[in-house]
Amino acid sequence: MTSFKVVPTATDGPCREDSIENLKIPSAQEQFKSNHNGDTIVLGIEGSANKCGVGILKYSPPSSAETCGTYTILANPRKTFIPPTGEGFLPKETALHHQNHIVALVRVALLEAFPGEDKPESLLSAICFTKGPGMGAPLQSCAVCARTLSLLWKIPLVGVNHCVGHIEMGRIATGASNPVILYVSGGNTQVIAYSNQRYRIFGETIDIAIGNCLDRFARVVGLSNDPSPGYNIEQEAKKGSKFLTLPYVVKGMDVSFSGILTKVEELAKTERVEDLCFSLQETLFAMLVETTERAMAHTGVKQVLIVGGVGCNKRLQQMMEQMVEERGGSVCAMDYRYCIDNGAMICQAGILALQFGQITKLEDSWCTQRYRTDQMKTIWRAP
Amino acid sequence: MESTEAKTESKERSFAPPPRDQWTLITQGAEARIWKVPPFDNNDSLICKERFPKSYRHPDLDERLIKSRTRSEARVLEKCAKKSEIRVPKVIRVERNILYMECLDGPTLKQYLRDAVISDSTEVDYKNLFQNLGTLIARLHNLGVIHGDLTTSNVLMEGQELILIDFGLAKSTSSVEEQAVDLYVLERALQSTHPELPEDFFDNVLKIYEEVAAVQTKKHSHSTLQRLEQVRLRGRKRECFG
Repeated sequence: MTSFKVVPTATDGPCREDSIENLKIPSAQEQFKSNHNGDTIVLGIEGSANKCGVGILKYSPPSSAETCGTYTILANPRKTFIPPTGEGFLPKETALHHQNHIVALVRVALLEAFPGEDKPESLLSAICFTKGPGMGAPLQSCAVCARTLSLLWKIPLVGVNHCVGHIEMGRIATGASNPVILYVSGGNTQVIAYSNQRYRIFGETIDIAIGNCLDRFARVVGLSNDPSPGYNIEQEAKKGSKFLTLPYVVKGMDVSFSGILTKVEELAKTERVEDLCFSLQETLFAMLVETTERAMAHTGVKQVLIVGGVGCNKRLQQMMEQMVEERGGSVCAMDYRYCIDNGAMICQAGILALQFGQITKLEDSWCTQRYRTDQMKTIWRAP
Repeated sequence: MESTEAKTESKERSFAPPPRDQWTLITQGAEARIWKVPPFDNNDSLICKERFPKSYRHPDLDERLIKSRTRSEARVLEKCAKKSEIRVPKVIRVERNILYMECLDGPTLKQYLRDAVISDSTEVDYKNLFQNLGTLIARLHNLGVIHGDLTTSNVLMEGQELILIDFGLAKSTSSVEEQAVDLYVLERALQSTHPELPEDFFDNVLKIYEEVAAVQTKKHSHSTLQRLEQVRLRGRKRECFG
């Protein structure tokens, strides 16, 4: 065990809490114990889709009246289940993957966060886990691990909404206090704006998620799932030039992708893969940018934060930047801490809930595949 | 092909608005600018809604969207104009990205209600207002059109008569769901922008709506209101997406 070599996964410095303008953290909570030096450290487990991750995050309170509290990622290892070309990740296999890796991930995270520490678990204040939304079996596998650790180490559980995890990590990592959020991933497509202690969904997909549309298209044309189908579509699209007409479906603030997928699958019989990828990206992303612009116009917000796996796409970022620039605003830079599923983002939303006294009792620690972003009350933000 | 071009050109000559520098920009939205064009030829002042290109979009897509949206907006407006009981701006001319419409004066309903709050002298006839509003929306829905953005900024007051404007999100449909969402959008707009309205104002709008819509099909208007209950519960959005 001691000869085990740790590959560093926590490479970002501390993030200041004052930049995101949360409410003041209440002092002396009964629900949990901080460490003797005042630090609060939590461990977070994520496994709602094909990525299984464990994060460890530390909150250091301000040392004097002039300084400011910080959040620091101490460890953030992750394992990704990559299915063979032509297949998607199925719940059963994905759950098995998570079950096989979760214990090793917890150990390696503790090793990295607390090198040389005999009882690293004694430094933790809570276990955060993803309550939903996501795939049932993988979520359950990780929740079982979270409950076990909570009972074993006698520390509280904090259930977290996966989408809120993305948003809170995005806010703290970029310092954007109140952006319009475009959440685009394999399972979700939402345009979100904050209002009165909830992340309100302004617009969303009325059928399949954008990532799902991209993944399924990649399977049809035989693109690899390694490192991700979306990445391979992006590379192919760079070689495309012919713009094929695809359905463009924006209904008010909402979008629909299923018709596009059908059409593009049909065209796949005759057209070149690179032109299909190019046209698909151009059409899908234009729909997203248009609805984001509507949300900005409606709320008067000038800043945009893109979270979720599809947010890594350079072309989407470029289109968003063009739109936002014309409105005199700015787009937060892409960052793996909030674009790709990981344990630290679950820690970030979880530690905020914990600090404001929101914990999850063992009997309430069930998971759910359906859990809307606006169902979690964000008690750490100003009403 | 040549003959059509010639035709458009001759049309072009018969419609010669004054140069751009004489137009006044009224407002700019996310996808269009609204101009006021001064009187010319036999026309009074006109309103010009000009959709502008979006640099982030592929040029082919941009062209296609601008053209189809301008056309569909004109089509819905013309459909409404055929029924004399629904007041909408008259379409004067449609170009690729431009809609010329009749210029209607009068404050927006939003402005009217705001002004009434500020000045004590104006007494708002709420009864008349909910009568007119409920009737107008019911007639629109009876015609098979939903507005898509029913807010008090999109209703003009001409005396006591109400005029609907901005059909950018409108479409031809008789779907119960879309009609219910139309009503829900109005309800939310009234709540958030006009706390000064009497508490039962929207309920009264709905009562009138049901009465007038029932003239056409009783069952349909009833199911629209039932659907509105569901839409309220889920806040317009579906339960979830995994």
